[in-house]
Amino acid sequence: MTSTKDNAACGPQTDRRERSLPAEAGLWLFIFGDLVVFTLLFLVYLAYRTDEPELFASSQQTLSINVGAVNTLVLLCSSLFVVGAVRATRAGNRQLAPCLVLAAMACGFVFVSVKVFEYHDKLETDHTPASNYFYFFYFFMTGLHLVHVVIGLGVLTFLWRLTRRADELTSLGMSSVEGSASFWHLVDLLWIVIFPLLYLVQ
Amino acid sequence: MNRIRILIASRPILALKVPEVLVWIVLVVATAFSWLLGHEAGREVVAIVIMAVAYVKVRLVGLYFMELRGVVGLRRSLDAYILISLVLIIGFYLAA
Repeated sequence: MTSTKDNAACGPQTDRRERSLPAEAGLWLFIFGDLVVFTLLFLVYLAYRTDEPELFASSQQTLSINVGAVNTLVLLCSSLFVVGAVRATRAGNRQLAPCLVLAAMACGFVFVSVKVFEYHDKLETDHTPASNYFYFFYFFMTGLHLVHVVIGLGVLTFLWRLTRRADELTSLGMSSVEGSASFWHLVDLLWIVIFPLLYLVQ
Repeated sequence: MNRIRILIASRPILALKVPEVLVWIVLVVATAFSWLLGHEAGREVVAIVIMAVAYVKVRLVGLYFMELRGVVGLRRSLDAYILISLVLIIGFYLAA
């Protein structure tokens, strides 16, 4: 285990290899469990799709590929800001790190806004979770992901508070920074698969 | 004002020397590629390529953003997860 002071000395190149992971074991168990649950959900979606391929294809046509792709880019940007925040925290930069976390949070809010607009558009045209199985899975998967985004924004708030003390964090604090960042990357990672599966694969 | 000075002093051009920034560029290009392919919907091979690209992106996020490169156990778990998920998803997709 290394302290932040050591991290600062090593520069931002220091990464997890320098630290053991027991403190984060629970978090990684959660992350992998979450990934497995989503994969099972993807498989159930595909299984239902085999029964009504035409209906799924025609329903899919009503989704905007462009909106989904823009949201993918928004989350990718947020992840890069979080990566930058972790590096700045390791370097003990208490000015830059919180700014980068706020930038990531702004991306998160953009994602939520776009999603709300998308839901509103769907519901206005009478496409509800009860319309057919495609819409049921569309609302269920994206809704479950949206819950992750909202929790993620809470996690980023916690991260923001930590990064404001970037130059005086203990190794446990640094571990919390990395754990929070990993949770946000999970949010990005899930969308990276949900977007092509729901919007692109026909 | 101080914060703005720090941001300017961080010299954006140096960002290209950071591996995560290069990975991010690859992720954006891959997203654009899938986006374009998405308009060619309906062909099985297109769907398989799109899902394969998605899981390559997952691996990049895991290794570089979540920093699993240096943690052997987690890296292997991620690779196993990706391989199993991709095979199952393509299998279920082709079963239609």
